[in-house]
Amino acid sequence: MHIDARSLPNDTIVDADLCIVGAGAAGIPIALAFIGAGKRVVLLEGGGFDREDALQALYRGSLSGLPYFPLEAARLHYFGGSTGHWGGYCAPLDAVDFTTRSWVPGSGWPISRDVLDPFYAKAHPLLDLGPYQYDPAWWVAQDARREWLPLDRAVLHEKIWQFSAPTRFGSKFRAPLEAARDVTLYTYANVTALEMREGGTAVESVRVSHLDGRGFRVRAARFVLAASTIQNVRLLLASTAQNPQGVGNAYDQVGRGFMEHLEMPAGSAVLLKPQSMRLYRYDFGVTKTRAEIALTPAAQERLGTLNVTVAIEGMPAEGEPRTTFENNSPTDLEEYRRETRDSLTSIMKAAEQPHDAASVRAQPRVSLVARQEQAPNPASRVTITRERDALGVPRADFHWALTPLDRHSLRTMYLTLGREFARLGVGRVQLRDWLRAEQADWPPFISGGWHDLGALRMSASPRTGVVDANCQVHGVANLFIAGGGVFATAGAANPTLTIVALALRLAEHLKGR
Amino acid sequence: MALDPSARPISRRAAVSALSAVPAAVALSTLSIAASACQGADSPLVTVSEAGAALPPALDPALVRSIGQAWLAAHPAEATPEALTSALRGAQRARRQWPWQPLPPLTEVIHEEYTVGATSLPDGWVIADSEARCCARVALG
Repeated sequence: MHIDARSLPNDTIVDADLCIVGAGAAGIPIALAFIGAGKRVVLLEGGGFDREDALQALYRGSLSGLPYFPLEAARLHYFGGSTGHWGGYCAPLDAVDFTTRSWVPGSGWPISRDVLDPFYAKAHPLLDLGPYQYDPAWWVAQDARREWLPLDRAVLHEKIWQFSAPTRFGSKFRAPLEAARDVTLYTYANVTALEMREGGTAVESVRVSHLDGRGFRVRAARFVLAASTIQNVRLLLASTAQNPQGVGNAYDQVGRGFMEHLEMPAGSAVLLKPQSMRLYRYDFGVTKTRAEIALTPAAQERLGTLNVTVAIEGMPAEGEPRTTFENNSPTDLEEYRRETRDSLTSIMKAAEQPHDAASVRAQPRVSLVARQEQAPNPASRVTITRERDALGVPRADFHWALTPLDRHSLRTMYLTLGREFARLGVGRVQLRDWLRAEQADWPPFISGGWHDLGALRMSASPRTGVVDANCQVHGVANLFIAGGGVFATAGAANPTLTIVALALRLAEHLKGR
Repeated sequence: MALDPSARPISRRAAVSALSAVPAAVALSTLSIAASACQGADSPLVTVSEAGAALPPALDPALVRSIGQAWLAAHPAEATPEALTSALRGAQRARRQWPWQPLPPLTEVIHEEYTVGATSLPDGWVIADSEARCCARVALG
């Protein structure tokens, strides 16, 4: 069922068994899992079914750390959320990502990868992906034209990505949710505060407001915050009536440890001999599977690095490849990819042709694009400011901060790849100028993958995170969080698949209670 | 001849030992001469042709020169064929097990340097030190 919340009488009280705040990659799978479950489920979406400037402006905030995307552009504020502009990249986190790594401060999840495996498998059809299969050997066996680079697999290995169409949740799941009898989707329903029961250890209701000043409340047995990471943080920190420091923030953990993926073309390579790139090549909108090159867990430990992969991509015809930051928005990035697709594809195909030493000018040059987790860093954080949005909610300030470990990891990966490419005679690797010295500043165009992770991290203890292994906010009996915010570490994989898997796991947990 | 009054009669064992040391000393001396001779033979000037032959044939000549110039800029003391030769031959000598063995080819030295991580970043390229010196030798002409 769908209700435009603007049609509700002012001060209406809606009762439910479960209230989900946010209808994006995390909230929608939970709502879908409850269809037919015999519970009254309310799904609150702050926007409508398409982008509206006035609502998108609610996400505006300030930036006080490293340069970052405008907050009002980084996440979409309408039904389907940021699946409305994602690129479709999918890979599960690696088993090592869940472990406590002595060389990565703050690492370790209270769950292991095998706990998530069944939910990864269930997430695949929602994202229109192929089989839940990420063994590179399996994919090579499916197509004899795919060939391995002869890497030293004690150091480097292939990591598989699958590509969603990309699935737009707003388009795909609107009809089934509107048709559901036990799930009610409210659009134009912006939650502006959590109202706590006496003592502040459980949520009584959420207050929902409209831009015209009217509003209503939703009372429920359980609540799931499934808005974007930064919006979830705002809501927790702004709800101070019972908890002056904010909800779930007894140990000053809410907002801390925000993580992005460093997705940067930090190097390039000239290829010196014919090499099939079919396993590694990516044509936007065409490729369903490809491999990136990753440091093995053993190499990460030996070299003291974070998890990092490198994608082999073509070079634009002119100049260095741009970063997502330089493209300003995912939409621009998609256009950029389309514009350069033909030239990139031809370059990659050239890599497979025999080279003539007499025509070395034609030797293919490829871009090496890093995808690296960011080390958990308490100083990388989201806070709220005195400025308020049109609904009276304090705006966010985002202070993005990196550590020497982030830089060391990125540089080590490119050095390792460079030595391995040369040892094998595959080619020679060049680092971008800002990465050549171990100690140097980040470049002005440092960029992420538009991924809002951490800041509401999963932890065994409330002293080191915000939610427990079941995504329940520490110390708040009926409040749960879904989305990238709960990531304890980011891994070197795009997060949507893991967000959906965690949401499905949370749904199963909630149904079992 | 004056006799040393403190001299003690030499024992049979000491005499045998002293006699057996003679050929050993002669042998070591011969080896040393041979090694010196080898060293001399091992140290002819690295020519542009030899340096170029150690580089991948598909490597763009302009890139070779650019890497070489970057290496020389960072190592001005090596900006002569003699200095580059000294460094390259030294790297070759360091990789043979015995002094009388022939020097390994530069390509082998370069491969080994990539394996053990003996690389630098001239102009940002991840290049084995000996390969960078070969580029420099080509750049010097």
